[in-house]
Amino acid sequence: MEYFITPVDVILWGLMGSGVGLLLSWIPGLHIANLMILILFAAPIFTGGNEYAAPYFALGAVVAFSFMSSIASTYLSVSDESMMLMLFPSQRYLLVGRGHRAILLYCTGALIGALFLAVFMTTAGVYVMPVIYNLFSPYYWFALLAVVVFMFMSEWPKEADLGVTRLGKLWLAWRQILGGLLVFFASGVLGLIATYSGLIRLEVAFARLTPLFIGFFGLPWVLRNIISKRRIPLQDTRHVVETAPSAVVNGAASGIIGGGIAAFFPIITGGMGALIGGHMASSRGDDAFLISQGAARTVYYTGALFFLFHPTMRVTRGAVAWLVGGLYTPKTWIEFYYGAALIVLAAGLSLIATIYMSKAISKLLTRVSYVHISAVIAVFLVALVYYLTGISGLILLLAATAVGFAAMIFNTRLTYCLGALILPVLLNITGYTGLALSLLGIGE
Amino acid sequence: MRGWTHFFSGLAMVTFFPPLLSDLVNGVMWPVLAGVAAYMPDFVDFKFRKFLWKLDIVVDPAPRDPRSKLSPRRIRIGKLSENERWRFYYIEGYVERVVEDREDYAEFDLRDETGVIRVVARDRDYYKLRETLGLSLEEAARSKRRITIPGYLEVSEQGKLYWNVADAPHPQLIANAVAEAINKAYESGRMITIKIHNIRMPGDFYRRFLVHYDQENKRIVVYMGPLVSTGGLPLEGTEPPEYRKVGVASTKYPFRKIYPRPTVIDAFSGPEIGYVRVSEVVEEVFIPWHRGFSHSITASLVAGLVASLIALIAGYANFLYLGIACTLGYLAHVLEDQLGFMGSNLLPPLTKKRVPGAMLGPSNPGLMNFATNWLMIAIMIWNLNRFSPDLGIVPYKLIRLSALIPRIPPHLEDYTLLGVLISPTILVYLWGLVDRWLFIRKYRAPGVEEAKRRETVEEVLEEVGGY
Repeated sequence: MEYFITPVDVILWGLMGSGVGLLLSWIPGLHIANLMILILFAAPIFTGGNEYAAPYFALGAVVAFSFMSSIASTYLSVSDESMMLMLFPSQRYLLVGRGHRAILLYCTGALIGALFLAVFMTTAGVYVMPVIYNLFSPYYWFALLAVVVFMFMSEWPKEADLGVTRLGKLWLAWRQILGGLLVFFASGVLGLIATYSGLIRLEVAFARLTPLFIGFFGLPWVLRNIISKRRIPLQDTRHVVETAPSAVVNGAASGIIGGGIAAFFPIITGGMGALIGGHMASSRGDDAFLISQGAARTVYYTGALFFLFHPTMRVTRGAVAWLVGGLYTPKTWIEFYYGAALIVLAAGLSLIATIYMSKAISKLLTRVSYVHISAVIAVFLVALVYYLTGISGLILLLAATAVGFAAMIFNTRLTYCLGALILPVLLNITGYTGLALSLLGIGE
Repeated sequence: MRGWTHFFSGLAMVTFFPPLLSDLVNGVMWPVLAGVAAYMPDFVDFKFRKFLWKLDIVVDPAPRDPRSKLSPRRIRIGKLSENERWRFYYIEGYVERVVEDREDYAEFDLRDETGVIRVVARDRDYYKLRETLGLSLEEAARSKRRITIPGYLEVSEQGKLYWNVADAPHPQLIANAVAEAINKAYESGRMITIKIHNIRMPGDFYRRFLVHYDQENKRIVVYMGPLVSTGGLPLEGTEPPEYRKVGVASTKYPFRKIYPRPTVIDAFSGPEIGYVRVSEVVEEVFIPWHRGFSHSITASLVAGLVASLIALIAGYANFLYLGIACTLGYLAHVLEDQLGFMGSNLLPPLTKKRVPGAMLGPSNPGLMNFATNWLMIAIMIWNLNRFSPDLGIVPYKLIRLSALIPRIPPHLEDYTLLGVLISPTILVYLWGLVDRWLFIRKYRAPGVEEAKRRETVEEVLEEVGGY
């Protein structure tokens, strides 16, 4: 039998994807989906007969992103939503000179996540995943709604103890919860505007949510660094993984569950999956948390794309999978097993590259003012939004930044900003999109 | 059990009812209410009762700055009085006179616009002060530079007030307050609730401390620990020096703490602890606003009824099934919590107090939590598998054990599958029983000598990562 792609092609294209991913993923604000869009559309090489290689190129890049993006979120305070739960522990590590240790913990989880994904999917997953898919797929929206409701119900009132009277405490507690709701709906409205208003030109519709996500999750943190004139202490760059075997097991289990949920259920993102995974595995402690985040992100991003390779599942999850699936969808078992092998190979390479990148950035941070670095990042993020979406994108960016700041002021979960994604979907499945759009004065 | 475990249990209960599953397939989302109902007991307690509960004694060992919401807060020297003793603040002013400055020890006078106070720095605190100042005390006095000095007010043997340089409050404050609460509970005959605020420091770190109940000697011992992160990771080199690490207070009356481990206070929020006299002993009721009526079988029936009524009024056809699913979800929460130690007031108004829990797997509650989650996943898979063909989702059952083991009688196939799916949970629960037995033997055997008790405390101190 003649195959479309050989092992050499897989290694070549996969490692090329990893290389590009490693080179670009540490840049703050550059999500893997945007990165892939830029690469695939800028490089017509994949549409001229090499489309069979595109999935492997993307897989290599996604694995690299899963590892290397921890640099931006740990050292440069910018990340996508799936890192939001992690920002605080990793920032704490950074502020006590242990940024590199946070990266090592994260990478430990990411490596375990990648290995688990490759081994599970090619063994038990071959039989289990199609059954799970067929059993649960009719209930996707039920799962999404349940997770959203749980997020609100489980909000932990952080400041209520500061109240003097009993009613005062109750108000402080509920101010935070109601603040979360406000953030969710404000983000949702922005999501509706970005999706349905035509504010973003059709040619760049693929990047319509980019200004929002940079505004929600990136810019507020960078601006806060600048306003508070944050200084970074000398970083310890020794290779010390500060944890216990039980925390590794617990963190990895939590991350794999969370990442698996996010990869499997549409719209449920890494942050939401991590929340549930953490509850299921009773994850506690910063070390377990960082490990879980590494595992969750790797399983989430890589797993979602790797579902595309599964010959009997036929599931397309995530922006990268949709993009690659448009070029070519792997169809045979051998392509599937090549993919699994590539995950392991790319994970090994990404691990080494991320560790050395972390050392380099650690040293750089002690020499260059963090405020200056933050200012450069802020300019870069604004320029990126302008380049992708023009002036309208900047307007959305401004609004989204205000919502991101509101989440900080209410001391509530930044994950609520995902209302931009979730609210339009929930309106859609319940049939209220038309009503919402007419209330907003969008459309007819 | 963690919040999601309860919520998830409610969702799992929905899968027992094909009409509800059919609604979900068709985009009717009412059954989400079962998850809400299952989480409701904690929602009521943690979002309402906690804040409305009457507190008799409030201990704030380190009042926070009203703007930054972090400790310590500034206190002016003129405001210092014995009421503020051992509480963690900072004072700000200039060094007026250096009385003594030698290795390990310094004494000087600090003045602000409201008064002057003697400041004493000793042990490691002396070096930390020097490091923070960046110059000698004499130089600081000459320069008249304004400096800030964290610490607490202390009384010398001669009865004079002075400012003790420190980075944490003295644990004696907390020990005294707990002892006072126990005495009051005995004397008044009613429940006395004490609220102990936690200590939140800059950088999102918390000062960890723990309250140990030395029942034999009628003493409350409070240990001040290191700074820890929100996730509980201790920060190296932040343990207090020996001289201000331990606070001990004696009570007038005997007391009993049912759970033998010390109460650890660090991140999130400090606990409310109730003390109530039972016969001649004062018993501790940890977070007394929790696990009352809200966590009862009675409340589960009320929840189902309310959910049914809401759905009926809203015109939902399957309101009855929904009500039953809500009751089952709520009940699952109550039973899941009963697997732990604290227990709940199960059948009010027939029962008035918490019924102690089964205390399964005390050494690894996380594993018990995971096993319960697995049980719910198993229930979901089992139900979805047997109902999916009837719902028209798939033409046949996706999991058929008879394909693997042909000898299984058809009428037993579903139950065998259930058995297989839930077997990991059963195994973990059985382990939990063994663990319970070992735990009781270790902590609660009659005649355990004081030395062994001390060992237990030491072990816990090590567990919490301080010293």
